[in-house]
Amino acid sequence: MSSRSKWAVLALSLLGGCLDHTPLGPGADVVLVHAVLNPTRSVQHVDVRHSTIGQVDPKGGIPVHGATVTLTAPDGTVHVAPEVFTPSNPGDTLNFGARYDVALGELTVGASYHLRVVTADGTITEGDAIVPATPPLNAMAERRFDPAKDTLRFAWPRASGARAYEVRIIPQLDSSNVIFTDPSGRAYYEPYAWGGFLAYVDTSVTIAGTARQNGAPVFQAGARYVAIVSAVDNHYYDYFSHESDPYTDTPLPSSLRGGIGVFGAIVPIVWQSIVVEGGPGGP
Amino acid sequence: MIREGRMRGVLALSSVLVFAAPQVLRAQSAACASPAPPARDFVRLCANGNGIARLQRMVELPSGATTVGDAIREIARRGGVDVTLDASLPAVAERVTLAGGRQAVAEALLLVVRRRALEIDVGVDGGLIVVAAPDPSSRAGDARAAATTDSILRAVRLSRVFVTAMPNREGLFGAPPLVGMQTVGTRELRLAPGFFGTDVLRNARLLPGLSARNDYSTALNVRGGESDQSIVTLDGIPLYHPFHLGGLLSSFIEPAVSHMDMFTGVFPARYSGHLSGVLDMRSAEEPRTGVHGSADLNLLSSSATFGGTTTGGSTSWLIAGRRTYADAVAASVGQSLPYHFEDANLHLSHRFADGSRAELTAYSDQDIVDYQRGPDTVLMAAGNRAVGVSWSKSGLHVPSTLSLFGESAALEQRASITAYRASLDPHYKDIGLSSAVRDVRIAGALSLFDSTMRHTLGYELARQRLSRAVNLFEAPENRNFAPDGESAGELRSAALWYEARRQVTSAFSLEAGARGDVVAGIGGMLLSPRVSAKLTLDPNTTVTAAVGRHAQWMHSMLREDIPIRLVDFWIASDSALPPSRAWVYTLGLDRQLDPLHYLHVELFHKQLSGLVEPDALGDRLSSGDAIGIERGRSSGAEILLRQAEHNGFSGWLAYSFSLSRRTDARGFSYAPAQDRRHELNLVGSWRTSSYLFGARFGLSTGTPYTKVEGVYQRERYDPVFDDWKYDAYGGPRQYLLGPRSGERYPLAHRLDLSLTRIGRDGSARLTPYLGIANVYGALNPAVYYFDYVGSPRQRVGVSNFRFLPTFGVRYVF
Repeated sequence: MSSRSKWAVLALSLLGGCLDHTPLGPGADVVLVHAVLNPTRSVQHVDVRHSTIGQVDPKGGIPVHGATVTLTAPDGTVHVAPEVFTPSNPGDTLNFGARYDVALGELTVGASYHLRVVTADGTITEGDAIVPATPPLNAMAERRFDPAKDTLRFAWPRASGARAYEVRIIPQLDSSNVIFTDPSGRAYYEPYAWGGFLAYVDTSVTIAGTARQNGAPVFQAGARYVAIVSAVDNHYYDYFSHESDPYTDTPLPSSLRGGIGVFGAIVPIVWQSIVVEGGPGGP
Repeated sequence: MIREGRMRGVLALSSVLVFAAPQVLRAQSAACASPAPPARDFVRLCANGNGIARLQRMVELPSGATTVGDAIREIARRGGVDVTLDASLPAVAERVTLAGGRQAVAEALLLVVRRRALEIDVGVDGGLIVVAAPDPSSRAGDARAAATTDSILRAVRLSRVFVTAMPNREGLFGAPPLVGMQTVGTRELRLAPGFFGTDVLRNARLLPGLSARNDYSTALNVRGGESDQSIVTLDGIPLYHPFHLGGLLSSFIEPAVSHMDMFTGVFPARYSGHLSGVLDMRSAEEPRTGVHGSADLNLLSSSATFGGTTTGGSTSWLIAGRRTYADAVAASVGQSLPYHFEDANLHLSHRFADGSRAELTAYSDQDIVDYQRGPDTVLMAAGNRAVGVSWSKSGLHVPSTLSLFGESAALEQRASITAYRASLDPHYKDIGLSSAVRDVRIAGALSLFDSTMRHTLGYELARQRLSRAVNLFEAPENRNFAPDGESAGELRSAALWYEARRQVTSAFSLEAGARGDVVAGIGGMLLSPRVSAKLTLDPNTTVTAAVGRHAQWMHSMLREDIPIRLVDFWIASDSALPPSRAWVYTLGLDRQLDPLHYLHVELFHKQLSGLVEPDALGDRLSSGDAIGIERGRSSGAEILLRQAEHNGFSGWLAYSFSLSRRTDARGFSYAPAQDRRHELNLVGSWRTSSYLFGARFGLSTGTPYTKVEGVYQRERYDPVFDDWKYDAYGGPRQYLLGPRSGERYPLAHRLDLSLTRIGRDGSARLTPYLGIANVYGALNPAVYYFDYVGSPRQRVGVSNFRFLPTFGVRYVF
């Protein structure tokens, strides 16, 4: 139960005086696929799971193993994506993924790729995606950033086939996946425990140094970040820019047939490393 | 000897005077008591006017021969007093000759009915009713006639709607022929068990045609319509979201409200801008001289009401205030409760020497959260501030060139300003919201009428400034609940309307009208015709029918699915967003079954188009894409069966059947969240010599909801590390939803009880009251939460009020 929902239920139950509990089954089980085409990478990743939340892995759905995953290129070439069994985070032994990787080489811009996932029980999930035509990646020099004085600004030209632009400010992990260690010796290696930013915008963004998101400052003193702007297609944008909610009867849009999730495209167009000044772990 | 005898006589006479005088005085006092709620709603009229200034006013009496009924009406009109008359009584048609001259209104009326089988009672609002009294010339009273008189008397006491159902030709003819209109007095609503005192809007839901989604919301759905399709006004002044605690209570102070005119079908042409309902609250007036009022203290709040009328009866005033006190109590014990609400009402009315009348109404309601904890502060405030003035004059002379349209004229003008604002200002400004409406209006109407027809021409100029700013940067998962972003707009509208009512025959009356609204930014004129007719089948039965077109150009940006509406955000129609429209059809039957029982049956059908529904899946980067346009229909039937007070008992049965469907922009048809098929309310009140006992049993089928069939965790692509990872901290979860509105909450039922001590014959000044909502603790779910993550997996139902006792005390003076 999310924090918001918990407080709402508590408030209403105190006022109304009672909660009624009815047992539920495990819930609908649907094939859940997360896949994107990133032309800046030589290998494309497809994550396949059950929607049902597992008891061993409370964070995500139960991985689907043994599925047949294929990506058909615009020229008709069918590429098979073999399963790669590897934890996504070495520090989190519970989070075993169900990843299928395929090396497609250089992606064709403006043409449709077809994803097909067939699980062992015969369930077929399919989707299509088109890679937007974008300008070359603008890899900017590293920037030193003072949150008290500085403002982060980016602007970029419009890309053909892009529905929107994703702006991310991602904390950077060091070689041991530790962001930094504070004076008490506590190591921070959970990626989103130390700031960060996510938004979908048009062709420019302005982020104040004092901006906050998710209850914390975007820029934490002493931390390192990568600011990355990516052009995304409509499937990616629809899936990641919305939230589902039963109280407003809002499902999450999915472009897939026979399952849920996303098969879209994302192309980084701006990249900059940021070093935030000050703080116990920073320069 | 003689002196001694005289002394004995003096002593005897003195003794009689000493011992008998109090009895006589008490008898006079009891007969001439002032009307006072909750028990002494009507008392017999006395020559001194029962302390009511308007009845003590000196007026010029008419001279000449006329009927008793006409004499009563004319004297009341000259005194500015409302009178309800049972025209079917034989005594009303008797002839009387008046000599003219000046006399007090009360004295003059009693003179007209002296030695006739008529009785005049006066109510708490200073209004008069004239009913049959035992014929003073007959030796043996006719018990049946007396009983009939008694029940008719009590039927009239309850509310004006029952006047129209009286065996009273004038009442049936005089009432507007529109269906879907009810006038409900607050004293009648007070008979039903209350919640933290009497909540006028909450209790109005016990009448057919009005419902709410759950106990936590008083936002009204009128005949299957969305909650933004209805407007609540106070003396014609529009109010926006007049609720407290997110909709738990309405913001009206019950003693400051006299009655409520509810338009749930085809509106009169003077009303526009909404599709489903107009609830026009009317301020109370204290008709007695001096200062009178009440103070009320209950578990939630304290309130006080003061009012009076000047000695000449020309000016009356009323002021009321209410505030919660829990924050003050908490502070006194060193704790902090950063919430309170407060309301204030002011109403002034003045009757000028030329007979014209001016009124001023001022209103304020506020919900305030003031949270401070170290550097973290949150200030939230929401409410209305409004003021309105009106001026009216009747009995104007009609020029000969216009005599075709009537013999008399009436003119009214009104103006109002309403400012609604809701804002949330946290310290860090990560989440912020504000919603504001500034509504300015002027309106007026000129009526020309005679005994068989009435023509009314009116106008209205209005300007609404709307603005909203919602920043959910911090919590994007809440975007579905509030429209993220900023917008500001202005609506300017001008309207001209016309209504004509004609008594075609003694049994058939017809009313036709039309309204044209021109709204800046919307091309063309919005033409809204209305036609209604009334046919009297017999003295106890009328049939009415009406058809009309409504328009709405201000829309809420919250989805109707949301079970609780804390605040509201408004958007204006423009060239890209056409107004919503509705065709409304109604057919009604009114029948006075017998002197005690009144039946009202009504069928309705609404065809709706251009409904604005916020689209949570809309593209927020594209202006206007966050709105979807829907169409729909609502149909149903309503039954209201009323019993007038008899042997201390009165009550009503209200049943509604309603069927609503909506079709969204993608062509998907579904039952809207407010689609409640069956609703039954049984309300009863028992009056003993010292207590007033109220009960209400409600039974209703469930409203639709969308079932959550599962949850899953969305993964997010990290372009830096080229990997799939969970959203921050493993949430928020995403939901697998079943068909929209594919399930329904279960049948709901509950019993509410209340007990008020009114003292012997209603004479108590201090009246404690106790109420219990849901006496047997029925568990009626208001909303479900589906937990597929916890262990065990379960559906959690949050109940509506479950055994909620409230008590308080009211002091009346």
